[in-house]
Amino acid sequence: MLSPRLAKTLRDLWANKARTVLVILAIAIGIFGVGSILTAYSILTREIDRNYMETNPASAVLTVTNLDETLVERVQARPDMADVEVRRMVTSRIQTGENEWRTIHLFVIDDFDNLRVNQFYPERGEWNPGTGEILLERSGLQVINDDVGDTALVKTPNGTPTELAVTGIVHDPGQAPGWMEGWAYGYITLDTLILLGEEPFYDELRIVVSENATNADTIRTTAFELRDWMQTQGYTVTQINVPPPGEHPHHGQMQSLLFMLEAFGVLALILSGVLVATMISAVMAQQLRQIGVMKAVGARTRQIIGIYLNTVLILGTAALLIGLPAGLIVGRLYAGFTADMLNFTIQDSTVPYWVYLVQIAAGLSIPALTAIYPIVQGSRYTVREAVNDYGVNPNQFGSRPVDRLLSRIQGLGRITLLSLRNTFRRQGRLTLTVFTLAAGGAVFMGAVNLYNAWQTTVSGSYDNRHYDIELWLKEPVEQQRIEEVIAPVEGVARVESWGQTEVSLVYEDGTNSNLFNMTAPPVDTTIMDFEVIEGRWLEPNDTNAVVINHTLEHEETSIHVGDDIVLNLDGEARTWHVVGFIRELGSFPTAYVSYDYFATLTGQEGLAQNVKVSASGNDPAKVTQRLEAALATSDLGVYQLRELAVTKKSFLDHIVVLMTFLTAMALLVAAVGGLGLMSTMSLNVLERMREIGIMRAIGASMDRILQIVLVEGIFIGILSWGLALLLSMPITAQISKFSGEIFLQTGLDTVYSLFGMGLWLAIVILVSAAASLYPAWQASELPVNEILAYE
Amino acid sequence: MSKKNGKQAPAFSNSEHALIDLRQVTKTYQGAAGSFTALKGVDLQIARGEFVAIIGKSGSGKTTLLNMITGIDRATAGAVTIAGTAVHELNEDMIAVWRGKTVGVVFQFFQLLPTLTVVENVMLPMDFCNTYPTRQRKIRALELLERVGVADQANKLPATLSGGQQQRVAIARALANDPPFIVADEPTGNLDTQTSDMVLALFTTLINEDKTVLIVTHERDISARVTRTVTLIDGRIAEDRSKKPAETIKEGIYA
Repeated sequence: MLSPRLAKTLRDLWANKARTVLVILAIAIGIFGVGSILTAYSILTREIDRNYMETNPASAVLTVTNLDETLVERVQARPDMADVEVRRMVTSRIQTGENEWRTIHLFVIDDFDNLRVNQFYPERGEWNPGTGEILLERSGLQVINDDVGDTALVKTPNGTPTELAVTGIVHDPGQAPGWMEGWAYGYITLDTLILLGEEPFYDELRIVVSENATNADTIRTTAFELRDWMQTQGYTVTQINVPPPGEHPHHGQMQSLLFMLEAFGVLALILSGVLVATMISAVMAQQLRQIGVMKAVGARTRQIIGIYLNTVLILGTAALLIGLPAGLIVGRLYAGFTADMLNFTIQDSTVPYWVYLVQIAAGLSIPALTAIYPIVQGSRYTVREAVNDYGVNPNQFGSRPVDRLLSRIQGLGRITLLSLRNTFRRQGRLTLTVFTLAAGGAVFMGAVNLYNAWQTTVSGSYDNRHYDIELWLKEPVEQQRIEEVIAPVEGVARVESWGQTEVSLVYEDGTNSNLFNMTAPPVDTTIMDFEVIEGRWLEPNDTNAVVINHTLEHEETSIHVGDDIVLNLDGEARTWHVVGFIRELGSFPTAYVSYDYFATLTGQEGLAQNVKVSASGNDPAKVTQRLEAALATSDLGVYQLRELAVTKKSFLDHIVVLMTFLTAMALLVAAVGGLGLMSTMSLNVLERMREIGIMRAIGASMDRILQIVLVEGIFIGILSWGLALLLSMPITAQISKFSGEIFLQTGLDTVYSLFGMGLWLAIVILVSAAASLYPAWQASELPVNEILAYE
Repeated sequence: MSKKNGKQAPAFSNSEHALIDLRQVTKTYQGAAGSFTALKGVDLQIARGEFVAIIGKSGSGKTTLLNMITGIDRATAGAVTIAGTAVHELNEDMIAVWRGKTVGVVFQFFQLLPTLTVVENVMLPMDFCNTYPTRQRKIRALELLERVGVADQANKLPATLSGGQQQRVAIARALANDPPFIVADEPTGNLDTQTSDMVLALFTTLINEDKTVLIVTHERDISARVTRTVTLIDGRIAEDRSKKPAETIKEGIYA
């Protein structure tokens, strides 16, 4: 037989089934929120690095002009080298439709059967491609619409368009997802490269260091020592690239995103805890008389506390049974979704024990912790306070300043006034309810604001570019020739060509940074407005002045406006003076310098390699196609071409995933708020049963009672909206900054959306009305005699 | 001092032998509208085996007096000593345990816990005060229910019982820890005449078992059943009248 105390706990829960279900749901939502994100977090962080590390990623890539087998063997024999492999990457173009081309990075592989560094894996079709055959990476397939069995038309910088048979699909976990970047990856042999019209050589020496393979500084030192040694052996190293060691290219981005989502999961859990506190307060208020009776028959305060803490633990356990598996399922789905998005494979979806433990601990402790205050308060009531009702209640309506203030409000209808004053009768309960609903609203408005901030920032940045198509030539070409080829194309309104090359930053220790662009526009260009975020833009008399874009600033954090920096340009180290920083979304790390000075230094007067084209009319895609047709028969040697509208769309698509999850979290939190309001309204109705009976007895219709309760609920909703509006401002500012930093390396413009505010007001009124409807209906349905007899 | 079966119940208790001893007890309540003194320097001594009715109009202070005796409320001034324990010196938890073992409380509205069955309600005080071994609690609860005549209702929930049956369960619950005295606040206030008589007869049998029973009521006609009637008016004892023991016992037996 159950002990009377446990029997009471269980039967109380059963007797108040609706409330029990509400509390269980509230806690379950919190556990679900935390659990799903923790599950995804634990799987993704483990699998992304596992995927990446299993490829045996290169510690550094050295570009060598006269690479041969002897060198490879000798480097491999060095004690500081764990692995060495040669490769070549040729950025080319692949046809996706008539006069439609996309970028494809072709990797020339020496031996498909003996991949050692930056390994990739067969997915479908054949593995070892023959001459005239190509393997495609899976993440870029949707960009080029090709698959096994198709024929791809590929054009390398020096070759002519050549058909290659697609014989297999591979997975290369080390590459940024092709669909996200808007390009594809292909894998060919050296013979196929010859077929494509390129010279047959390898120029990349990919090395894996044997010690401290996760320390970028050590790797850089080792790589430069290797370079020095190679140069003594007669080889020329033109470039050294050290990728962030041990981490997938998107590791940081993914972790930051998951961290932000986790914060919302925790918020949902805390709010569900607040809701539990509200509901337990309701339970305690309802059970006061029973507490008095139990104390009268010998119960001590801690025994009473024990009864109600047990109640919370039972509710928490029930919520765990729902929230934990649901969180696990959704977390795994989300992990799978993210893995697909970031192009890696989840080999093991096991969730570590700590994730279960955290959920169990949170599911049991947070409700208990939040409920402890109302439980202790309720349990401390003396028998007399609990059982008897003496004199005047010092907390009854009318005794506080806010009550007196409310009583002065006139001019509203009697029913509205009654609802308004009722709203403030239980101020502690009101505060908790309003806060819970407001938290949902703040996150929701934050999500809408973030969407708008993203749109505004991206659109603003693209609006600064008064061109529609950008192209890069494989070699500098006379500006006049560029004009002759492009300007006559139908729909081309304006052509401007800039100088461009690749440079690297020379550090104090003599080592170099990875390559980045040096772009040289005319300083008075009007085809693009530069958004200066610090310092100034270039001026006509500038010589060695350089303006750094935010992407480069993000990579090379030691650079400040006013600094003198040394750049390696065409093998010569030259000093440049940093005069400003600009924000430029969607661009590679770039240093902008004056065209005139650049041309003088490089001997490229009158030449250009980067071309901006603005189109007339509203269909730049058509102009792009015509331009492609014109370029195909020209001698310009186009290396890459991109249409701005396509890259802009890709940018806007990046935020969709984040928006979806923020909105889901907001709705989750709002659901908790709605449950809280329903609980509050039910309790308010319960407490005022006698008042309702009196109103009914003196002539109030059922509709009137319904109206009073509904209006009170809506008042609470509107109050929460006001608070949500205030809370949404810092939330918006923070998530705009944070998500901007994650995806764009720069904060987004902070935008407060009137639409978001209005939408949430509508939602919260609907939620409030819906949450109040059941309690209101209950109140209006009760017969007068039963209400008045209510004890 | 009384002897077993109440055969020699005293006409007036003296303080040295009193089970209940109230000295100059004053109780003042503070409210938003000002203070209100419910008891004004009450002196009252009740001996073991007495069956006392405290009567008075609504607001006379009788429930307050009962609350002082049960430790449900604390005196603003004065001393409350019950069975040698200075109740006013105990903290809330000590009072709860003391009350559970020493006082059986019966309320006007029965106050059975609605989600516990009848037998579980009776077991509850034993559970809280740990007074009987776990296995014996149900046996004792059933015995008590048998004694008050509702053993056949043991496994039902209180809501399915009549008012009289619920009050008898409440009395069984009050007896659960075998306390020396029982207090009842308007125990018949919600019952019809016939059921009231049954409940009062039950109290009378308790007197015969050396229990002390204290009833608060506004019904003057209850005085016929009790050994002593204390009348309160405006927080003061206006009258304290005892009856001959034999007369009372006879009424109790044949009620």
